[in-house]
Amino acid sequence: MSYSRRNFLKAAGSGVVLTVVTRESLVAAPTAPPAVAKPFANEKAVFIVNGKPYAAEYEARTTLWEVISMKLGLTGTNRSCNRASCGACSVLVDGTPFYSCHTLATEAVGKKILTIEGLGDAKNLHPLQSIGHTRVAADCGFCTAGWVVTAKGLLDKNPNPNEDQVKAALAGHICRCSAYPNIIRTVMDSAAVLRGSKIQIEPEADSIVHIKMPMLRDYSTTGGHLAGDEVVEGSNKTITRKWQGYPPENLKVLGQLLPPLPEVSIPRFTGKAQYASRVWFPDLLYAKYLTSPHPRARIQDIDTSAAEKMPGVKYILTYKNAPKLQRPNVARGRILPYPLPQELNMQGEAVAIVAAETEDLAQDAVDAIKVQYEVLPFAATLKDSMAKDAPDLGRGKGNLIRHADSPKDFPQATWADQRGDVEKGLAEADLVKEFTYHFTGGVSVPMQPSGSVAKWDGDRLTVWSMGQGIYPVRATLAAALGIDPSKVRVINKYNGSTFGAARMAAERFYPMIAHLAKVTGRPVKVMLPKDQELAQLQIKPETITKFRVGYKKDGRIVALDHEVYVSIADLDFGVHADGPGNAANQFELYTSQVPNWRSTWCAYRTNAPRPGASRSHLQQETKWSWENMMDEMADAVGMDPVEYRMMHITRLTPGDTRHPYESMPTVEVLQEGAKAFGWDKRNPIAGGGNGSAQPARGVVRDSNDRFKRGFGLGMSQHHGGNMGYHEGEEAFAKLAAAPDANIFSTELDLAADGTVTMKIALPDSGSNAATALAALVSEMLGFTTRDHVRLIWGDSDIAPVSDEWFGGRTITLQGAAICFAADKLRKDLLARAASALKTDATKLQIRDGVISAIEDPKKSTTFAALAKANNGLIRQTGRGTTGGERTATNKGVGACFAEVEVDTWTGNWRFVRAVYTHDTGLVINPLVSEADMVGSLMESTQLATDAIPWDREFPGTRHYSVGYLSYRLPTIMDIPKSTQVYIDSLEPRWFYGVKSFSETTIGAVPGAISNAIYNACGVRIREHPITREKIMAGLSAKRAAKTPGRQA
Amino acid sequence: MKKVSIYKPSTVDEAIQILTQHGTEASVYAGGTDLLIRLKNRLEQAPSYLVDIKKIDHLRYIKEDSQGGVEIGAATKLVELEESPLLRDKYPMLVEAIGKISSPELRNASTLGGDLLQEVWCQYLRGGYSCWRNGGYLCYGAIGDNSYYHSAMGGRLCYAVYPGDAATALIPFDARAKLATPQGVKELSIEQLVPGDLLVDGRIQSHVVRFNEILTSVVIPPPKPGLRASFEKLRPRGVWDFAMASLALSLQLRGKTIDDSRVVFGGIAGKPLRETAVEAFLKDKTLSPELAEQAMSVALANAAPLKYNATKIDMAKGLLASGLARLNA
Repeated sequence: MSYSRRNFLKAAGSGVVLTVVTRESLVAAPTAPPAVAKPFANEKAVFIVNGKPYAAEYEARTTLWEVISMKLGLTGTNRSCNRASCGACSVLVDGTPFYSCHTLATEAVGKKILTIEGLGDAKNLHPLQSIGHTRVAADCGFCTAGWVVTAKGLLDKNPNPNEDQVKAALAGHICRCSAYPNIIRTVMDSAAVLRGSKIQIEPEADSIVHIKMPMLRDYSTTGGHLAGDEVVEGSNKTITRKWQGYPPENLKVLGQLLPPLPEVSIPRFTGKAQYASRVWFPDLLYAKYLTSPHPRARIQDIDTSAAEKMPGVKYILTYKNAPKLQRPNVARGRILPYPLPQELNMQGEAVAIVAAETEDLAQDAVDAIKVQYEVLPFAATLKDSMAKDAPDLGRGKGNLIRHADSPKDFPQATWADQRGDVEKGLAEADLVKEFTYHFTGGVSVPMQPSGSVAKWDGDRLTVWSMGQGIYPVRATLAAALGIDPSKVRVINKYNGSTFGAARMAAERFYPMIAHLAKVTGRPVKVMLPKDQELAQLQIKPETITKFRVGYKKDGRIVALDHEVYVSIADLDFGVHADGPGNAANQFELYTSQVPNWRSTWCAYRTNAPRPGASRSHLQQETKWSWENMMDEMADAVGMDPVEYRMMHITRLTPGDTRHPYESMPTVEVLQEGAKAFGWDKRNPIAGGGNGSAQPARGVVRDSNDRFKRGFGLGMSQHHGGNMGYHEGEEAFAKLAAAPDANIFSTELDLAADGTVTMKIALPDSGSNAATALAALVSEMLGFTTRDHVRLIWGDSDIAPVSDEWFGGRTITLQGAAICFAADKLRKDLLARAASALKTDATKLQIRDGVISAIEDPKKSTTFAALAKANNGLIRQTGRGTTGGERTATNKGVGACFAEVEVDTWTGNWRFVRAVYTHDTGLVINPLVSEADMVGSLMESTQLATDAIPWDREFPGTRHYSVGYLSYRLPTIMDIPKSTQVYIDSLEPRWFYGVKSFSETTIGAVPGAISNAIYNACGVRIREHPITREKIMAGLSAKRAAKTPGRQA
Repeated sequence: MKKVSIYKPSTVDEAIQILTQHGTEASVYAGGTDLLIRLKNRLEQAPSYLVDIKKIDHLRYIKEDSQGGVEIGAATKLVELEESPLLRDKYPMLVEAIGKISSPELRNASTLGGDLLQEVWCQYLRGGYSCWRNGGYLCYGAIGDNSYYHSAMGGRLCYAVYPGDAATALIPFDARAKLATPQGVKELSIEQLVPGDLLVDGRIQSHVVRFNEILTSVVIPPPKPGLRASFEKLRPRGVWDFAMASLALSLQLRGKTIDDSRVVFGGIAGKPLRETAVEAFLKDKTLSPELAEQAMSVALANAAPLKYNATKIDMAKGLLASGLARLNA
């Protein structure tokens, strides 16, 4: 029993007087006590929401959000942090914005409440909604309902705000996708329209430099393809049809700036986008987790007897009564740990799940569950896991991950690769430098609380999920529950971002939520609170990288020893240290010209959150070290960082089997980015910016020398995308037959009204992937606008089987299915028209749904007529696959140029501007991709500047108790001015020269910022994250060194 | 959220009676921006009874008094201070400081009294650790990750920094707080109101307000001619975040000569830290870049940083230089 001073005081009633306040401070006499009113713990009242009265019964502790969303079922208002630190839940109360998650319901009784539903609906959009759509002011859309109503409140009071006023008013709203520039433009434009201005709101980019590369290039500068119609595929020598027969010529839809598909985008602005967290039923039960306070423990016993008797509690799941899964939960071929384990391997692991009538009642019961833990020794960090006396987390296997594919000649590595003789190379080098960089871990928290809803109708289960695909989830869920997949319907149309991270947090628990729904006979919903979600999300793990660099006096690296240590949590697979697909991708940017190199990857078991794809796989945590190292090396040899990289970057050469790519414009990415940025104005002396390196007049703090600007560069490369279906039907059939094949499929339906409907299983997490796919379909079918293509998506009852997206490859995986279906549909229509018009298909042309003879355009038919003639429907299907890795992978390369300003007096810093340069292939939609890339830049900035809220002194525990105050996501006040540079590299093997670039450049950012800070003030940060305290400490140390006799 | 019952008294006396009845089980509730987080995190120390003082009609006002000073009701919203022409005219530094508190929506809800008397934001307390302020006998901040929310100027039991900005900004104006108590009205300086961690009614808290007392208003004396003031706040983001270090600085100037000054640091100690050594040093000095440099060498000589927060002292000194430079401009 813990003795509590507080309990003692409860008994004492009035408490003990220990205050020190003098009698003299009493200046007035007391008055007689009046009669005291009664308190209330429950209340029944009428709420006026969007002009309509609603009666609700609730507890005194119930928040306004809970009444609106959970009692009234007005689900348009999203709740994210639930700690007044994000703004997603904002509503207007009597015209003033409040966070509804942080306003007690009783406060709003009788007041006029305006939610997103009250602003306008799809048929009658408010300008903020319609212009927001055009301006792409929502990516994932989870924050949208909040800032839109706050903006409405602003414009009602100030119809003509300036940009600073808009920013100030929206400062309390986090957009995780950082659509901030577009949000500001939306509010400014809406204000103008509401004032009566007749301006036309046309889609326009914020800041893009588009470099169109020639259709045919040679190898003299960088990657490219030679003239000719055939392209050889890597080592397999598979001949591929160039452009797949669809060259990037005479384009009508591709390359246009178009808003996202309205059927996807508009609901984000009206509160109707169906995130799992918005799914509501009047009889919904809410689940809450009890989680482990210990980094490593074994549950000896759980007593739920008191909790079960508590009001509103319907069921409690623990390891004792949780269903044994018929087959383990699998994601991308990897087994997810059992959702309610008895062996607990991290703080925050789930111990029990309570389903109750409200979240509060469920939590009351969670608090009443008694658990006996056997607390076990733990190793939460790499240092602890690698220590000699570390506890064996591998149950006899040790803490280093070794598996069947681990190299025998590297017994201390999970995976390794080498070329030449690195020790010999180091011995022969003129100079050798050693570097160690520590990435302490990061997590890309989605705004949407990770979770799901499960509902049974008889023996048929519906799950509203949160993830990156529906069929893999359906298959594993059905297998886990031992039911036929046809009995499971998975619906997932929208996510408030996933970043890859949500998989562990949401998917792992579907069988348990489904089970709770079964045993209670009620639909059950879970929305993890942010502190618990943190432990469940896939993270970017702690990573220590060591380099030994041997180089010649001219700076050229001749030997490179690269060691990576990575925290793998309780996963039994290497994931971050596995072979060609992952690890190799992280070092080939700078090693192709180094004769001797070795790269050793060691994954260690830890009691930390689990790693995995989390806004790219490995990019930021590994490039953090590479880009700092390249900068330090450039500095050491006195070279410009761009020039130093030019000396070392991979340039494609014919016959290079290590780099089997057809386009990889490393040189252009550096040169064009540097040009757009104005890199030539970089001060070569670190700390030398803005005036003299030495402060004037002997004053350490000269105002003129206070704020220092610096430029920094980072590079990145990514497996841009597998060519999902490029080798023809026969090759596809072989790949598709493999047991672990990832199949993507689609249906294209041409209806009698001449419109084409795409059916796609993939949800949308904010990337608007289907918008790009619709543009491809439009182009291939000869439309000059996108208006004839519709979308049905994210529902296993209506969309055909597809895998989930991953690795930023949607455009070449789901895109493979789409493009081949469109190709087949095009050919089908031409054949039908040829038959109808009694001519040859090659003599026909297609334009906007009309097929006519080239020679005699009057001889024509229409898509509509052909569909009508075929019972009103012509359907074609297409498929794609991930198979053929390495022989059919395209490569993306990118660079981030950053300018920062450091306040050398306080250690404060500011991200001033960025030029974000991407090897894009053909850019399908510059407008949507720009919005996406601003999100990528800021996501990575946040990852560079904020660690997992992970305690340095009590490793294994973490603090995430005050929402995003504990995990600081960038706000509208923190964003740099950014410009996207698109290097249109034209991937020759894919339709129209498209390649994907969603995560190409994201890894460049942490290094770019770190290098810019070094350039600004001479402080080098080798231990992530980049913080003000580290900058200040570095500046103080430098000052102390300059001032003899002064202590640091 | 922790289960609570709410009272909505209509007078201060009624509120005091309720608070007296429930002891430390009850708490004054106004904006709730701090309190609701503690309730949501189900802290041991969080109350079970909320005494909503918003129905009390004379706690929400900003009015000029007969001497030309201003009295602000404790339940006045921060946004109302921010938008008050009267305050902007008389105490622009205060208005600037208020505008840098949390976020616009939170300033719509938070009250001046709530900002002054808010609980510390130490991650261990807020995370439910059984610390001094949460029913336990240990300060995790003193031995844990103390880089942000903990004192670099020493401590007694709880090492959390006093987090508020309003108190820091009010001290240079010699503002005073009025408390309603069962014995009558009590008046204190802001420094007396929030002297840092101390045991009051068996609880560790930053302020001296007892369990059955209510902060009712803040009185600011009329601004003196020649007074120039500056507020500086260093924080990771441009919104929401608490001060890593802050400074409220006022100078009573005659030309460039400093007749008198107030130097108050926030975010580095358990209380708004009035640095009298610097005030004494600045007296009769003339503003110059060199003066800032010298003032820094005088400042915070008795710093006692913890393992991770020594940079708070450097940051605070940097803010002092910044404030002096700003008022010299």
